[in-house]
Amino acid sequence: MTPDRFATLIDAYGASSERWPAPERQAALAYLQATPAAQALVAEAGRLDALLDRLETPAIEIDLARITAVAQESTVVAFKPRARAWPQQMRQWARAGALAAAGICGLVVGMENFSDQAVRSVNASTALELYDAGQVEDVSW
Amino acid sequence: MDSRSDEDLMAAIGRGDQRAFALLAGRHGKRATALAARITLNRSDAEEVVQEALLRVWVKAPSWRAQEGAGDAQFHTWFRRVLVNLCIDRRRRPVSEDIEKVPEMADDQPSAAEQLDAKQTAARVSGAIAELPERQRAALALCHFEGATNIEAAAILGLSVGAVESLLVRARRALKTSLADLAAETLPQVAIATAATKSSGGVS
Repeated sequence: MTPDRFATLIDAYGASSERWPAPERQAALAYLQATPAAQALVAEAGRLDALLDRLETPAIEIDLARITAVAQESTVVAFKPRARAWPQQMRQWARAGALAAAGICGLVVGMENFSDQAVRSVNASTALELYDAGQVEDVSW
Repeated sequence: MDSRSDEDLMAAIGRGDQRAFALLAGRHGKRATALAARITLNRSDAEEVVQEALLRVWVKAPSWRAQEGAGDAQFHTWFRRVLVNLCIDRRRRPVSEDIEKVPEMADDQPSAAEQLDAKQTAARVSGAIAELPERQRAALALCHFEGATNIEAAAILGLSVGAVESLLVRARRALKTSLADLAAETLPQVAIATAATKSSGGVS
């Protein structure tokens, strides 16, 4: 367990070792026990965990009887996915197009001999934001 | 109580067994609604998403083919994948009213002042979560609140484990920044597994 990997584990999964990936848990626990800096990281992450864990499970009752009735009235033929759920083939073409566009952007930036670091930074952060928001399927760096 | 597995129930639903559908919907409906609410942060969206996901169960059942040895995890993963994708597809920003209503603070009958504090804290935390992009919110909902492993979350989100981890890192960093003042006043919650339990956990 390296300091960087431990920091990433805490950044991603928080302070509770139950949430850490099982294959790395023992090594992370041993590192934690032996490293004061690691203990400080865990304590800091524990503050965010405490805030998140004070939120109760959303209490929403769903009308299962109604849903069951609706489902039983539906058929495979009658059921249609939402308009936004593109067919797989269209999604693949869109994804390919987005990747091609990203590649062209990269090429253009590359031809400028990386002279405009700001543009590259903005492109990368924008792409990441779109990805996190589920508006693009993949980000190729 | 019907002890049939999810896979057995899917097979029965595929044959038109309405009771099996009601049973499966009852088994997963409540947790599904909680997960949907955590991602959409909107009560009516959560209800609609769960309804649509359950309809897809009914539609999918006749062609459902369980993989040998996959057990109930296969249905559970598939169902949550459908649910999370529907949530992300919504791409709606929650209204502030719902942000405050959906996740409520744990309540051990505190005083009025404590209740007010707790409510304000809940609103801040919920608001910060609402500001996260959908995929980050979904990863956080699955791994932090649902207790999904990183491998399960990756299967549900259709991403690599590394990509899920990156989403979680970005989500928690954003929350840490936006809730820094609250976190500074909060006692850390640290649950470290003991030697007896650390190797037996189900998280992968």
